[in-house]
Amino acid sequence: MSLSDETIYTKHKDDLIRYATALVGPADAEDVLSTVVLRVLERRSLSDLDDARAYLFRAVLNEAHGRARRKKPVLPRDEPSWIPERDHEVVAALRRLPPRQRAAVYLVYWEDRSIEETARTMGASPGTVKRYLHLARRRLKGTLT
Amino acid sequence: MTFDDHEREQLRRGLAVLVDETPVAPELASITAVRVRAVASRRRPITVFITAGAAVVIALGGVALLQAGESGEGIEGGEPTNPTLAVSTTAGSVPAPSPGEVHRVVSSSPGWAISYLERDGNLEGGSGEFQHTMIQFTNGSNQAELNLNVGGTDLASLIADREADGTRIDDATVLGTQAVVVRYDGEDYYTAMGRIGEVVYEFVAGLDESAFRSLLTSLSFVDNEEWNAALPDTVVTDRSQAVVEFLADIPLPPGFDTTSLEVGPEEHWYQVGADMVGAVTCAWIDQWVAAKATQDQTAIDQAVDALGTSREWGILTEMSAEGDFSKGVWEYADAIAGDGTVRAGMVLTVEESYQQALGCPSQ
Repeated sequence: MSLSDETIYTKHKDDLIRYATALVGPADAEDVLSTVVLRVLERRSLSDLDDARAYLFRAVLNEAHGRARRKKPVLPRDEPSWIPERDHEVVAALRRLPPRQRAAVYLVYWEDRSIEETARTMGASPGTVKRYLHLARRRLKGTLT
Repeated sequence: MTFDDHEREQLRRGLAVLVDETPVAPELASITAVRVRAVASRRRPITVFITAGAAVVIALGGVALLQAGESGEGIEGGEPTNPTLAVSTTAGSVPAPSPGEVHRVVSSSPGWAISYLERDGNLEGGSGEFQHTMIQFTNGSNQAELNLNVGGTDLASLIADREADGTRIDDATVLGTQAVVVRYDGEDYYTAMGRIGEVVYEFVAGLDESAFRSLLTSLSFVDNEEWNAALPDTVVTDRSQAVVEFLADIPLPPGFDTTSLEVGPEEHWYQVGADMVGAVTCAWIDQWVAAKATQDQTAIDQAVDALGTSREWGILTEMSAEGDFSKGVWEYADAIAGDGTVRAGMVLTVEESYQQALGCPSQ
């Protein structure tokens, strides 16, 4: 492990684990992150990457997408008591979004990324990101009051 | 379609909940301690193949199985109490499938066809090793999935797990056995679980209940001929032919015997390609390692030259679009031509890492 790997990973790890949590939930987030980081390091140093952050974000999304294909759907559950009742449906709807739609929503509405930044992070075109957002908005619209 | 400020605020509160329980990120040292990962995960294809044009198999005859409930031994609160294969043969039916044949399941529902097949052996399950088969069906717009586990899966635990997220509804007959059906709460998403002999199965689909039950009744066992005919083109059913096609442009080490590669279950072409190319690559590296130890420069050069052509191997080129196995081969080809090391979070020698990384036959 080179020092630069450590430095680069440390710089982005908190963002990555939060992103993974948004996509697969807290129980699987650490495993997803570990899996993708190890996979990358088997091939190359993080310092070899032009944009290590975007690369790792894409890898996390791909891993989340692959896992979602196999798993049962994420379903409504008892939310923590501090969450207002009115938000329960929104949370449940967010959990039900497919990973790529959820990733787009997370990056745009939580990280306040632009469409272009989101596209780069997701490894998709801006048009594709807009399509993900459109589909997500359509699914979420009914739950937002 | 956009959100107003109020809706955005609601959305952000929802997203805050999603990330509220974010765990602490693992340290890099703890991640890289794992070193070389098992080849099994590397081999798994990333893409799901959907061949919408695949032919629909209309099951002919099929196996008529007496379900447990017919003999008065139904499902009470848990799994079927008599889930054995009690076979009632009908004219033209195929014999009761053995555990090795129980995966040959097709749907006779119009428009539905098998789109993907995956088979794994010796996986670690909750109750030990098991063999897993996953068959995906599609009608072009919807998907359904049948998972079959030989050993290693406790049906009662599986049912309990699914009931935690849903509501149990009326049982169904699936492949002649009695199955517990659970509807996920708030979803048109159903799962049916049961046991056929020592095989535990689960069939899941995101359909309305009527369509789901209709699909359940359309499933049947078929014989090998019908099974092979039902598989999409992405599944290799003739490994002997695959050996010829996949290895056509690949130099083989002296004395390399392809006989063992001609035997194996029907699998997605990517997995078969990994088996075959992996075996050849391992044999070349075996030669390189042995020659290096004896300072046999001719044999070393032969191995380096052979793997030096690997970026031109047709099957590896095709595989590179689906997963990372090709990159692994190329990494080792470069390594033996270079300083004999690879990077796997840390520097590893070819000798200490290639068998595990490439899933060599001796592993």
